[in-house]
Amino acid sequence: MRSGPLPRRILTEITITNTLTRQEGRVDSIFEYNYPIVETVDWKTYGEPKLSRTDSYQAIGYGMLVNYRYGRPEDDFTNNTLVVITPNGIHHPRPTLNAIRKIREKREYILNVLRGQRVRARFAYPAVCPTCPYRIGCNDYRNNLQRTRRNRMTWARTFRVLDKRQDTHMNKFLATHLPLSFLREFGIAELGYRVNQIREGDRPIIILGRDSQVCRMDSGNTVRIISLEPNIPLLACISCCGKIREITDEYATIEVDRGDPSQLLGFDIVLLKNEVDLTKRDLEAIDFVRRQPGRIQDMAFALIGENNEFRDS
Amino acid sequence: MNLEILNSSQHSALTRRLDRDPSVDGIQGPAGTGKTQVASYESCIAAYDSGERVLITALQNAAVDQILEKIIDIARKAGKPNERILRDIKRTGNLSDVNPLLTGHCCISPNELSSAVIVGTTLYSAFVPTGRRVLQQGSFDRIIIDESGQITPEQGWQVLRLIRNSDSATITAYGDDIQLTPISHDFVPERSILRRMRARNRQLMLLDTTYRLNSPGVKMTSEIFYRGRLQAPQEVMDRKLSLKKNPSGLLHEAIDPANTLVYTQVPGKETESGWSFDNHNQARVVSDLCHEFIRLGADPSKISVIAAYSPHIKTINILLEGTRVQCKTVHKMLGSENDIVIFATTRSNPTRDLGFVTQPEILNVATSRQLRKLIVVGDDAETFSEGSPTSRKMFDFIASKASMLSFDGY
Repeated sequence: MRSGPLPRRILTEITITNTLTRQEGRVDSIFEYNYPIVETVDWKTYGEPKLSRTDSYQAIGYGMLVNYRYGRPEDDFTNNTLVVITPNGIHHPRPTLNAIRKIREKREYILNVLRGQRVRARFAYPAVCPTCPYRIGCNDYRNNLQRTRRNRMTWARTFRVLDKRQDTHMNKFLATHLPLSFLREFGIAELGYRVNQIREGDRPIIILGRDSQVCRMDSGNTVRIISLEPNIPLLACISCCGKIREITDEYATIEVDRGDPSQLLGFDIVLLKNEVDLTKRDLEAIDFVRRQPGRIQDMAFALIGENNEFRDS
Repeated sequence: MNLEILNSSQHSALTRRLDRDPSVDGIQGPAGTGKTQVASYESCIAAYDSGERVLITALQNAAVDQILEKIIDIARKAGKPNERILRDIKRTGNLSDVNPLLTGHCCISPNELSSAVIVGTTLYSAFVPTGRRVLQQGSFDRIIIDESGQITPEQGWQVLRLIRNSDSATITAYGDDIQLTPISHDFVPERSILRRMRARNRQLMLLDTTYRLNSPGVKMTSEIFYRGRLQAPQEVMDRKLSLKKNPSGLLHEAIDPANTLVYTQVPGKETESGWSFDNHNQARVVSDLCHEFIRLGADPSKISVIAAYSPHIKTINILLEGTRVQCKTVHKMLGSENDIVIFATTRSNPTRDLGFVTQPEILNVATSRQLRKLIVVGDDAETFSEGSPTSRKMFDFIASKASMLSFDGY
């Protein structure tokens, strides 16, 4: 941590999503010094004399997301210092090549699972059951048949969890790959808002205003409120999460659940639905239409009541 | 094929679609105007006269079955041999609930399906791996989407992979966007294909002659929902209920066959049932009306009860146990019709909140299912009229041109 000049800007609780690598994290804080120097800061409420390997990897993972936010290669930590603050002191985990490789391996492993590839689960060979009171190696784990069965069960459960998570990431995938006008047409995003007022409280309420446009969202939708920062990927911009209380063509009132809304001041705002109504089937159909030249695309646009407005966007 | 049975609006809609003008077109058919008939003729003529391959699709299996049955009927009347009809018209997808009349046409073999000229399946089955494997990509010249007033464009896109990527390929969307709208997973009303097309100023062809609603129901539906463009032939307008005995007692005015459209004000209070609502007073009145109709000689299977909320349906069903009266929610009643329809609005509370019942799409469906008589059982008239602009119009119409009864002391 730097003892010299104060940071130019401090961002807190920033959710960064990198859909290309399927990595997402909520970074506790980013300290921005004079360009291009930044610090990735992670706070821990518990303290041990030495930083655990898990915490260290977590900080490196966050650092990789911060590098993505600033458009740098994710393993380039030249101007990005990692800081973990615990009650016992300040730690600086080293982003070694080995650590980055391990994070990438794990990430790729999950990505392969989501792609439906047959990848082998590599579980540690346990000598004893974690709840075993005797703490000695037993025949249960030495029996290969038992081990295979246990691995298969764990693997099936892991797959189910990942498969479920994939559905909730669809809108992020869409937000990265489709133009904003398209997202708006599908009712996934609303553009052109600015923060008019913030009412502080247990759950802050922000009131966003904009010039009159037809609004396609409804009250009750959970949204990610994203500030459009220049030269930053959409899902790595400063953002908060909240629930729409009221929305009209001119303004929106949103109750914030996560994030600091004061950071959104001064930026153009995009509202992105957190849970989209599109199912896997809808998504595949959209993909099919986008890949088609000519006639079928014309028909698709005629069905949504457009001629070819989105084709060039 | 004999097209003389089609009326002028059906005929012009059919001609326009057979001429493929434009490549995607919407045909709006209010209740009882013969959407299924036009869709069936379009399929038959395209398949047998122009040599096209046609896919019939809809959200629900029942809608697909209904069109296929009609197509088979038309093909038989046109003199096609039975073997050819069996070979040419196929039904695929989830075959467990298919209408028994179509059993001989059910098929999951890709070879048989590839030689069929008219294939019927739901939107879901057209997409899922089973459907994808049995239906060849890019093999249809014409897709007919029924009930497109309930289908979102994204759902409609799912069958696009099956249509031929050529200039002659075409899609016809049949439906009515002023009836029920699609509902998203989080229960938000969405815009259907037809509503989107209308919003973008695309001309929707209206089938303007209904064969279901009698007077004054047809006038009410026409004025409130279709800007006065809906009409009915005189013999349909004059259709009246006939009972074996004359009505008497407290309910005689509501039951009188001369009153074809009646609003009965039933004081009472709704009760919450989970997230939904029930109303015992209304249920009692509905049950008494049904029993009285049956006593006077009406066929119980010709009576339908519509309610907005499921718990209310359950209560009414308990009271009507042993009779053969159908009792369904508004959403399940879509596409059905019956001689006598009793519509219970369920909600009744001090805040005068009638819930989603006053939405125009719901009111349109609920008040356009009757062939001979409609009785609306609702809260006091003032509350109903304040529900929404549409319920206000409906109240004004009934108050001036139909019967408004009060069951205060019932």
